[in-house]
Amino acid sequence: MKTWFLILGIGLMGFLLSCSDDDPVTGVSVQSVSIRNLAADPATSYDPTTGAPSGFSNLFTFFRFSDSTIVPNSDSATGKWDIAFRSTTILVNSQSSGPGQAEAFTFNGLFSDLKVISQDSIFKKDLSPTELAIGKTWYNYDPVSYIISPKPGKVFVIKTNDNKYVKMEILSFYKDAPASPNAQRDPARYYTFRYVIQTDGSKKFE
Amino acid sequence: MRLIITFCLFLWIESLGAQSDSVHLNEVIITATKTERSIGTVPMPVSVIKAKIINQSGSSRLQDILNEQNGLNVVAQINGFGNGIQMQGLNPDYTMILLDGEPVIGRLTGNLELNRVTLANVKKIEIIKGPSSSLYGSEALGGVINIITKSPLQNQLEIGLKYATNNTQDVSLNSNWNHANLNISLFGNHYRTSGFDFHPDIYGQTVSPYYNSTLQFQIKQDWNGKHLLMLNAKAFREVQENNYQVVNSLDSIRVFGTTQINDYSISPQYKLKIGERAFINFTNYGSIYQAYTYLNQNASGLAYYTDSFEQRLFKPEIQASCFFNTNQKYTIGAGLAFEGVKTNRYDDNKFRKQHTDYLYIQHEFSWKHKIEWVNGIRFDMNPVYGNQWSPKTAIQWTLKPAFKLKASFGTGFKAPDFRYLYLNFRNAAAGYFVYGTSELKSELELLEQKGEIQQYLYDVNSIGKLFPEKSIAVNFGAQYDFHNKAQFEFNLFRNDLKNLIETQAVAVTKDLKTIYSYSNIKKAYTQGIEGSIRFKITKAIQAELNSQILYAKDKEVIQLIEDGLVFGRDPVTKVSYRISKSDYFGLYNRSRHTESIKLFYENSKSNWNASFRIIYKSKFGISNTAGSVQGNIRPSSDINSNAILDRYDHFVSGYLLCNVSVSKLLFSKLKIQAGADNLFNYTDPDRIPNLFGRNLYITINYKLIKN
Repeated sequence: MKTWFLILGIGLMGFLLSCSDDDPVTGVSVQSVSIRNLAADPATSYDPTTGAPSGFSNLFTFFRFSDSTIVPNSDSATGKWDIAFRSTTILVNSQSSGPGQAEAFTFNGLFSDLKVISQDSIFKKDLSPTELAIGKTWYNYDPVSYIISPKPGKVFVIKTNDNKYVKMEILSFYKDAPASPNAQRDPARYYTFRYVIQTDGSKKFE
Repeated sequence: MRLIITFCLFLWIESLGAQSDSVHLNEVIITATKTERSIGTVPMPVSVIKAKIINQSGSSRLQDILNEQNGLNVVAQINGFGNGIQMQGLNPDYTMILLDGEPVIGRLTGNLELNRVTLANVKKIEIIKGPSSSLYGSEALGGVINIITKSPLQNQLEIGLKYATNNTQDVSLNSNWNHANLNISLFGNHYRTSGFDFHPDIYGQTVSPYYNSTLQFQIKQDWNGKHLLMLNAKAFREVQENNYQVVNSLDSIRVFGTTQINDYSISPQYKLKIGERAFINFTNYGSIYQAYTYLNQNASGLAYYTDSFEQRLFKPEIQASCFFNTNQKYTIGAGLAFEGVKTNRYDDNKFRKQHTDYLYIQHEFSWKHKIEWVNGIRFDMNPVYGNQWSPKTAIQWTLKPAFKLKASFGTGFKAPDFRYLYLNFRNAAAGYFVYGTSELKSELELLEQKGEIQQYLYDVNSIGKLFPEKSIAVNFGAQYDFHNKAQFEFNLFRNDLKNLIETQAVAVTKDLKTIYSYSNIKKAYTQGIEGSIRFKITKAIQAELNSQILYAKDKEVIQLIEDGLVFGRDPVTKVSYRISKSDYFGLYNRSRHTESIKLFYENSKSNWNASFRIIYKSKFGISNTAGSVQGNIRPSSDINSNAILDRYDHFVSGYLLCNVSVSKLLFSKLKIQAGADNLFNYTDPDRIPNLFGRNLYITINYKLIKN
């Protein structure tokens, strides 16, 4: 229990230091947000000789879009969170992942291309741990350099628990989003992403 | 401006007048049609590298001379091991390499290590571009390279010694004995090198020391041209002593051990001549290739890694050729190919076997020395991958004796390699598993039962039977012979490839290990033009200018770009942008331009010989994944995370190699040669690991002929 709080505390601190709300793009109902270094179960210690990362909590970091807030782990079994991150896995709060009603689908295109969510879009829930709406579909993995890089042109469209629509793009998996990450040097499992939320409940992003 | 230069060149060649002798080769080619044919009547794109050029170039291993040929590229494999030959922009897997007409086996990861083949007893190398599956079946999808060894009809003894940079020694002995109609040749070669090291600061060498030995024996008995009995046997062994460190994600482990390669082949042949018009040829080729690697840890002495691979091929074939009349010739052939592979990379280390039955028919037609037309078709029957038809047609039209047009059309195929079916490879340290398509389902079921699968990335049910990779190709070219003083030649080519087998990520385990298998998904094309000009500058200097322009692209990527679905991500701003068709460069490891200029000087009076060759390769991308050379991470070419090569990515710079040699013949028996390959010492250690820098050498060759 103590470690939970510790990790949560570290996570929150990191989050508060790195989160910045940008100005809304148009109107008051559309807000665009950038999140830097959201910790998704990073290593807490490193082997002094080999440098091997260790000390993973194996816990997800839960996130709510409406107020850009990390939801405490004690609320994991509630509808208070929309998506969750752990290592390279992303959950949406529904069915196998949680009691919520969150859903998501992938839009292949540029972030700015997505102005309106088309009516025929099919949102998906997390059906089982192996059939996730987002899961691990968002990155490429290099088996030699061990680098995880977010696929370009992949925008995740999420319907939140409070029935708002969000478009989100993952930008980096490494702390401080370095231009050419090094898997041995740069701490991994720190998400940098941006999203736009339409707070009036419509499917328009401008 | 260019026109004026060309025009001046024409005038100048005209002005050379009678001083030059014929540059036109009236060489007999056997690879293009499996029958003897004068090079001037071969309607397919064909070229010959003669022993004289090999000697003048000072080349001792196959890769040295092939890398200088127009349209051929020796490429380092992505994992850094071995060199393969790329023809018309096709991967090394798709070019068949023959030694005295029989296929060389031992393609560990698709390519054949060209360093295995010595040039010391090579009479000539015939290169046929374009699919040749109509005669040779699988593997000859892109073309055929046939290395033909010497068996001169005189008593002779030849000794060659070469000493080169990196303490490289190459010793060969070639002897021929003739009595009446009996001809016996014995050849031996020993090659030894201390290897080289790009990173002295890192434990172990880039290439560890190794040696290899080749022994070849040929015996031929000819009964007045009516019966011919021949036996060709070859043995090869290579041993490499490894000392290096293996770097994985967390650790570096120092290891030592040996890699050994054994390669044996035997080919008895019987040829029966029936009258003046027909003959029957029976060959019975057998070959074994073995490769073993044992590595132990320096610290503990415990076994670290073992790898074993054995391939066997047994291929009896009968071929009959018959002149219907002076203009028409029929060739019919039939054979069986039994192939087996055993390796610890497959689950149970037992022989996996396949047999292919095949039949081919070829019709050669010639009309008034104006038209040469060759049609052929081959049918391969294989229970694993099904039946294959491989047709080919090639025509040559001689408009004037000096001016020829050539066109050919054909299909080629490559059978799925055994590893695509049976591989069962776990690299837990690097975090991936690879399973062949026959192994995948049971392995996934096991992992599923253990609850280790995190997510499927691909519809597993759609992975199953693999089909042969296929190509359809067109070649069109022209040849102009300028009063036997200069030759102009060009060839346009287009290869459309489908069913290309690609690694397919199938699933991810809970501890982030990716499971890969294979599927026939990729479609690609390669197209381009190659041209050459050969002429005599003076009576003693022969010049050659070669050029190839190549476009090789993935058709699916093009389709996705057209649909607006290919993106890149700026590494700094992290913002995605859309890739346009003109941004897309094409497949990895291919230069858009390759050029060469070669000068050969030969003075038959003073017995001096020299050569000067420049080879240029323009920029290329390596791979969409990183590489590891001596544990040094060579970054991926892919800067914008889209796994394709586009103009935003990292390219290996274009480079120029300059090779020179000079030799003198003394007492008409002793030849002394000195030379330098890569004179300007160009290196790019992590990106071109097969190019080690300047290679200085000296050779001595002694030839004793007794008629």
